[in-house]
Amino acid sequence: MFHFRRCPTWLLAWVAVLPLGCGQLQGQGSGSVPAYEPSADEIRTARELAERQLLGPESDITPQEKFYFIKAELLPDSQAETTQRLVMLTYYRYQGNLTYHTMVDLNAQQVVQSEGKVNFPCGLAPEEQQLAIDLARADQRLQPLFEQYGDRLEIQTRLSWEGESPTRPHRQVHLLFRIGSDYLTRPTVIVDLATSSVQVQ
Amino acid sequence: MFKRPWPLLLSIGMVIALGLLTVTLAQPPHPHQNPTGKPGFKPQPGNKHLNEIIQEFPTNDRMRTAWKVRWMTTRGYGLVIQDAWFKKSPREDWMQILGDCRLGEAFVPYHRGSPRFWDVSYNFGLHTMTAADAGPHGKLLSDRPGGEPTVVMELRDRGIMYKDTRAGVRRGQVMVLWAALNAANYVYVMEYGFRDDGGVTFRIGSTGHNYSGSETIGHMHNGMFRIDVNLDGKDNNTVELVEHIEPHPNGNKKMAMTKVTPFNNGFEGGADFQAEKFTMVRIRHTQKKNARGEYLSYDLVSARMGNARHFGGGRPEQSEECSEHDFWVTKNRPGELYYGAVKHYARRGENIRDTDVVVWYNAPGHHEPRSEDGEFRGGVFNGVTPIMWCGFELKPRNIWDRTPFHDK
Repeated sequence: MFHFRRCPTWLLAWVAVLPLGCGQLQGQGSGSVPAYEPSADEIRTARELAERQLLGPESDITPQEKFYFIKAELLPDSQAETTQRLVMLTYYRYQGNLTYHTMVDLNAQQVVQSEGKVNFPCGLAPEEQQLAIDLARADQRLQPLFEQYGDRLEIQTRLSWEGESPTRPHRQVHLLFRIGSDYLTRPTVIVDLATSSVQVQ
Repeated sequence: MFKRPWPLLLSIGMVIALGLLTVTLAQPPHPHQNPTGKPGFKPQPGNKHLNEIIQEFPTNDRMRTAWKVRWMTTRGYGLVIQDAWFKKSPREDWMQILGDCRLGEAFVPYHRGSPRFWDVSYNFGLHTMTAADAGPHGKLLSDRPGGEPTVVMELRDRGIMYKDTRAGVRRGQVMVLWAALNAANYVYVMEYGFRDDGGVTFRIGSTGHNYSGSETIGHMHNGMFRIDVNLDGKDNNTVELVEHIEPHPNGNKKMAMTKVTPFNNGFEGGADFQAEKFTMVRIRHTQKKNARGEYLSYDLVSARMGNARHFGGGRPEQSEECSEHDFWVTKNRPGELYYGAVKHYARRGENIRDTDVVVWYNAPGHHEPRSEDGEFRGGVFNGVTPIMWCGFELKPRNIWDRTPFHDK
C-alpha cells in the first residue's frame, strides 16, 4: 500500500512540473519537420482545400475513375527566411492523361491556382507503385522468378513517360529486379497500370 | 506527511491543472484568423532556416572572403540551395548571389525511343552518406536534428587560381556541398561548389548501374537546372546573351568581336549554345557597379559535351520541348519549378529586364555504354558505371575591383 507520509518531496515537485514538460513536447511534435517541408497537418489541410475544388460539384472527375494524389511540396520564396506557406499539390488523372498542379496558400487557406496539363510527366503515387508490384507478383509467367530468388529479390519501379497518344494514360511502370548489388538482365517487365496488364520479355 | 491521501491528491490535481492552463495560454494565436478556415489549423512558421554554413577563405589564414549558404534536401530535387551570400572582404557586407537553385529535372531518353525517364518528377529520395562518401576531409551533414546524413561538405583545393612570372602563384579553394539521388539503378550526384573568388559551380554526375535490359543501349542524361540568381537581391537583375563573333562583321577576317544583347530581346524565352560563338548568359545588376564603374554581373559559362534536342512526348503539351533551347530565362513566379514546363512558363513573354529572374540551363551528357560500365555474368550485369559529369559555372564579372587575392 502506498504511504503518502513517505512520499518524497522530489516526487511531488516532479509531478507538479510534468504538465509543463508535456506542453513542451507537444510544441516540439508539431514542429518536428523542418520549416521548408509541409507538415502532415499542412498537407492534410492543403489537400482538403485543393480537393474541395478539384472534386467539387463543378468537377468532371467522377469518384469511380482513377485519380491519384502524387505529392505535396512547399514552394520557395525569394529567400529562405519567409512567412510564405505556399504548397503545390500534384495529382494525376488517368482519363485524359492529366497532371494537375494546385497551389494552396496555407496562410490564407485558399487555393491560389489550379492547372491541368495534358501529357505532363509526374511520378507514381505509392498506391500505384504497390499495384504495379502486386500485378507482377500475380503474373504466372513470373512465378519461376519469384520462386527462384524468394526474399533475395528486390523489386524496384521506374516510370517511363511514353506513348503515341498524348491523351492516353502514361503509366508504363518498368520493374527492375535486384539481387544483392546486381540487377537481373532478364526478364524485362512493364506493367501498364491503365490496362492492368503485364508485359514480360 | 499526510494522514489521509485526498488533500495530497487534490493538491496534485490542482498543480496539474495549473500546468495545463499555462501551456494552453502559451500557444501563439492563429496568425490569420479566417472565419471560413479550418478551426485549430496553424501553418508552420516559415521564417526559420535550418541549415546554414558560413565558410571563410582561406582555410589556413585570416579570413579574406566568405560564403554563407543555406541549403535543404527534399525528395525529387535532392539537395537544394536556398540562398547564398558572398563576402569579398572582412569589411564588406554580405551580398546575396543566389536564391533557390536546384536540379529542376533529370530527363533520360534511350536511343531505342523507350524507356524515357523523368527522374526528378519520380520523387526519389537521397542516399544516406557514410564516411566512405565523405573521404578523409569531408563532413557528413544531416538536414534535421537526429536525421540520417544525406549531404557531404568538403573543402577542396581547386588548383591554380593564378600564376605569373613576377606575381607568383596562388592556389584556390572551394567549399563543395553534394548529395546523391537514389534513382533505382542510377545514382545522380548533385554538387554545388562555392569558390573563394565568388564563383559557383553546378554539376550533376550520373553513376550506378546501366539500366536492365538496355545495358548496352546509348542514352542521354539531361541535368536540367533551375537557377534563381538574386544578384545583390532579387530585384534589379537583367539577363544578356554574350557571343564571340568571328570573323568580325566589318569584313576583316583576322578580327573578331564580342556581342552583348538583351536575352531574347529582353523578354522571357530561350537561347542556344553555339560552340563557335562561346555562348554565355550574363546576369547583370542594373544599378550597382564596382569601383571601376562596371556593372556587377555573373556569367553562366557552359562546360558541354554537346546540345541535347529531344522530340518525343507527343502533342499538345510536349514536355520534351523544354530541350528546344539550352538556356531559358523567365521571370520568377511562385510555383514555376518544373523544368519540363519551362517553355509553357516562358510563353507568357514577360519582361526580364530590371526584375527578379530565373535562369534555366540544361547540362546534358551522352552515355555511350562501354566495357568499363560492367559485364554480363550469369544473368546479371555486374559492375558500376563510372561517373559522368555535366555542369556549368557562374563566373563573377566585375564583382571585384581588381584581381582577387592579389596583394602586389
